[in-house]
Amino acid sequence: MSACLKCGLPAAMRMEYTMQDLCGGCFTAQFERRVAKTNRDFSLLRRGDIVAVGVSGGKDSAAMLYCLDKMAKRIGGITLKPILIDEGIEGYRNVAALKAQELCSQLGYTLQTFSYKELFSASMDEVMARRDELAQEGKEGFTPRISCTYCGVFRKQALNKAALGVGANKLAVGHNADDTAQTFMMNLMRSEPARNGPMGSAGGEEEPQEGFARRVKPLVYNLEIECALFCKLKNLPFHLGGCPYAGESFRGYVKDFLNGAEKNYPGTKFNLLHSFLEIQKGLNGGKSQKSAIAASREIPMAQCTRCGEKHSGRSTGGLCKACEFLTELQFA
Amino acid sequence: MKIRVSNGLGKTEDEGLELGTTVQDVIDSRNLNGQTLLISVNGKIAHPSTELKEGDELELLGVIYGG
Repeated sequence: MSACLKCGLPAAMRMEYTMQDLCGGCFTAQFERRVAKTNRDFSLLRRGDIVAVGVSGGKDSAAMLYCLDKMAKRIGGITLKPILIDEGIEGYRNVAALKAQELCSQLGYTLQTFSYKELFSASMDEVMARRDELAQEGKEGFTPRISCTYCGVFRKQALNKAALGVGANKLAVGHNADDTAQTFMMNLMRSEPARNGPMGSAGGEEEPQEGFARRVKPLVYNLEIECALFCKLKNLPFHLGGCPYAGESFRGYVKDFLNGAEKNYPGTKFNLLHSFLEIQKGLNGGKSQKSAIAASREIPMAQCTRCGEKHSGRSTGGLCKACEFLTELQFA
Repeated sequence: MKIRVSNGLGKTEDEGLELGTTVQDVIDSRNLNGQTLLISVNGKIAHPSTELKEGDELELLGVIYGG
């Protein structure tokens, strides 16, 4: 039986990338210390914040809410408001939502739910059915996209709307080290290195533009498997089912690739995370993320002519990306 | 010796193993990636070096979905 490197008790897991054997207690303490370090490194939460916490019923957001709850109580003067985005994927999100509800009750929070159907007038199931119909009809000018392209755009906008809707100035999302490594790799594989620039690290924009809550990612120093392990050891309810549309995603391919690399070359994911943070500085011309964002603001935000949402102005016809998709899919 | 192996999602099978077999041996024999598995023996999180015993219930739950 292996012993915990820190306290000598029987070890419950092995962290291959540091070659450390840890017991459950030392592992969960280390997990929480990493969340605290993320908070310090990226100045995530401070007194007076109202933080919308995106929970999905999955392991990452469960671990995040638990850690933020402890952190908020320790710091004081921070209000957490759990929010759930219901994409409308029957048999998946409705099942996971029950776990999210259970988690919030366990931790003493009220969960507020926002659905694609209410926000965009179409659920993801309807979006996918319509996409397939239009593709089958061979409608001229219609480009079918993979599910995650639609869902990613809707989700990002929905989370921001929900965060503002509950009066939050910050939005915490459960992106972990795996997610960051995957996004970094995907940007490189798509030849879009500039996307690794000013946005996307754990801290988000320190002073986001009007109409946006600052996105923070408290879990970037923890791996996906560690989030699951943390939930299991803390007896937090979570759902492990897969999205039925995930098979279409490029991210899924990159995820499998990185899991294979991590098995053969432990530490790969954290190496990618550190590379991402270093390259991000380089892409920002040595400037901090804050000044790089300020420079990027020389390009003014546009306002969607349909829904009024602020957007980058890169979409067509004055529409935000969500409205562009809804129009293509004939929901608007 | 015989143990019971499950994937945590309802699929369970009995497996005959030699004495001294560890959790890691089972993971390797099934060509699984231990970096994506929540491992528990008899309901408790277990280290891969854990030696299995007659009647143990080993759960190898793949953590590949869900945020």
